[in-house]
Amino acid sequence: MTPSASPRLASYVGLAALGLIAALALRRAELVVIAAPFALIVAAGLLLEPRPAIGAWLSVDRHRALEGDEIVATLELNAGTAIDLLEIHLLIPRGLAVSAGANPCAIRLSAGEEQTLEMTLRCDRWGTVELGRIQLRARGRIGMLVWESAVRHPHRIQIYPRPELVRNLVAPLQTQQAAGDLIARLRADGLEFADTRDFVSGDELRSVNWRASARRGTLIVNERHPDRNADVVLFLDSFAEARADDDANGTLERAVRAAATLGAIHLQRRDRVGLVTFGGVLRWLEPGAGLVQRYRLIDALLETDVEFSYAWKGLSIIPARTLPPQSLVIAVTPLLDERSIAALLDLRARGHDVAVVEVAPEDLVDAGTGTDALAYRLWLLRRAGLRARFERSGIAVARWTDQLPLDAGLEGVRAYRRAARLSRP
Amino acid sequence: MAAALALYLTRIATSDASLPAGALGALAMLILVVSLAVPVRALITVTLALLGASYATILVIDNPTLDLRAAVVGAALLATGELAHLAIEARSAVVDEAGTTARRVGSVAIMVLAALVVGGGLIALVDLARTGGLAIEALGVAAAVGAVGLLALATRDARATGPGVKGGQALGSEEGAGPAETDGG
Repeated sequence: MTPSASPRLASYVGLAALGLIAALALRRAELVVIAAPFALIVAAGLLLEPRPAIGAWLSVDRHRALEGDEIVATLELNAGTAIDLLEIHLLIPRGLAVSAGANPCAIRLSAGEEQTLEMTLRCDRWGTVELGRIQLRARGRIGMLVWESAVRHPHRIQIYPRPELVRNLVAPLQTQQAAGDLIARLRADGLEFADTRDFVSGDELRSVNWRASARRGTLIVNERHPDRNADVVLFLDSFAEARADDDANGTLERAVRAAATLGAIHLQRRDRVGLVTFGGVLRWLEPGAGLVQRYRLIDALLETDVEFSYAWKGLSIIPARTLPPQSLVIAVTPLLDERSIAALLDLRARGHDVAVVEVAPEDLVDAGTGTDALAYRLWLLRRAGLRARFERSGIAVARWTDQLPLDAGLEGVRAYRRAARLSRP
Repeated sequence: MAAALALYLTRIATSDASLPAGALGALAMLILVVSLAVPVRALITVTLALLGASYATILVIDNPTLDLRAAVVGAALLATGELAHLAIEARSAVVDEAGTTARRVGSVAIMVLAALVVGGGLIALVDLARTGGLAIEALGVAAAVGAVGLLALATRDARATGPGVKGGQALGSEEGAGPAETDGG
């Protein structure tokens, strides 16, 4: 432990020196008597108090949790010497908050005593956090010296985003060749009835529709839609975010929650899911399926953060294999940065099936009064114009506000795509 | 505590010294209030220095032969300083375990008592040195007897550990003093 002078040490040394000098100058012994207690306390504090010896170990009950879960952190202390006052401060990283237990706290330890402190931490925000930096400050009974040390027992805790409520997903326009849960548009072997047609040579006998054949007087066979999967690419915009003061529920937090939820459900449906985090730092994950891909996706999402960059980034920097042809691109974005807006329009122009879940930032902005209110209204109009521009390009935009479940936001995309399909010649 | 000390100093001062002593005491009080309100620990030192200056003013103006109340003033100054620092520390964000403040107040009380004893002893010594006479002679004799007694005690200890001087060899006098002592023993 590193010693340092307590504020009282400098104060008392100064007072003792002042008293002794004054005693000499004024030739008054009484001033020595006044200065003596301060000098003696300083001397006793420096000479009599031993160097404290303390060991500290931190453990946590688990290293993976969901947002809103609670983690119990246990701090074990072992004192080699008596410590009159030991202040303990466990540094809490962003994303965790103390829900039960005192931090920082002060205790007293006898020589050889072991003490265990428990603290309950609430996971407030998704992410990967490192817990384990403990600051200790010990002082003796007189307390002229303060002994400080920093102990590090790092525990890497992964806080997964809590799932949003989603019942129905956005159906892709095109399916892939592998088997899945989606009913493909084409006709082939499958379960879902599509149509009937005349029997041709090579048709299987089991596909003959005997009732229709009897009615028509010729052999009629059933046609079916095969069950296929789809390629889904989650396009997460991390160029910019909107956040209210002291609000842990900014647009980025919600966007990651939405992306994690959509990714997990698509993977359950045996789709191949990829990820592009488009922001100051580009991260991508090639489409894949299965449980491993789900963990990869979550790990990639946990690394997401808004990182400032002036660099203009377009689709050209995204690896081609990350955006397979005929894939459904679901963009989760607050539509605040021109670069991501341009990239989405570019994706659509290149023939990708694009749907946008707009994590609405309007609620996080104070409308203000007077000129500010006017500016706010103009901003809203510009955003409405932007949405219209997307829709003209064939991109469905769903506004997802904080008050609505994600399912309600996705319903806007589904409705647009149904209407677009109907209006298609 | 500071207010009581300032008031006490104003009361023990004669009419000539009461005004400057009272003014310094009042200023000290004001600074202490500011130091606790802000809080700034450095101002506690200023407060204590001003209270000490208030007492020094009384000593200079009233010029008593030897003020026996110095021990009380010294202990009161220490108590003021300790309690002021304790008040600031108690306002920190650190959550103390139950009984910590009471224990620390107890420690302050012990320190103040010790200061009172030390101050009283010093005053007594100064008084003895000032008055001189038989008391000083008695003190000198007592000191001499004490010194002789300590010497005798040391010699007895040395004899008691005589055969064990080999241990002294082990500690290593390279000049051969060890064997010589062994022979002599």
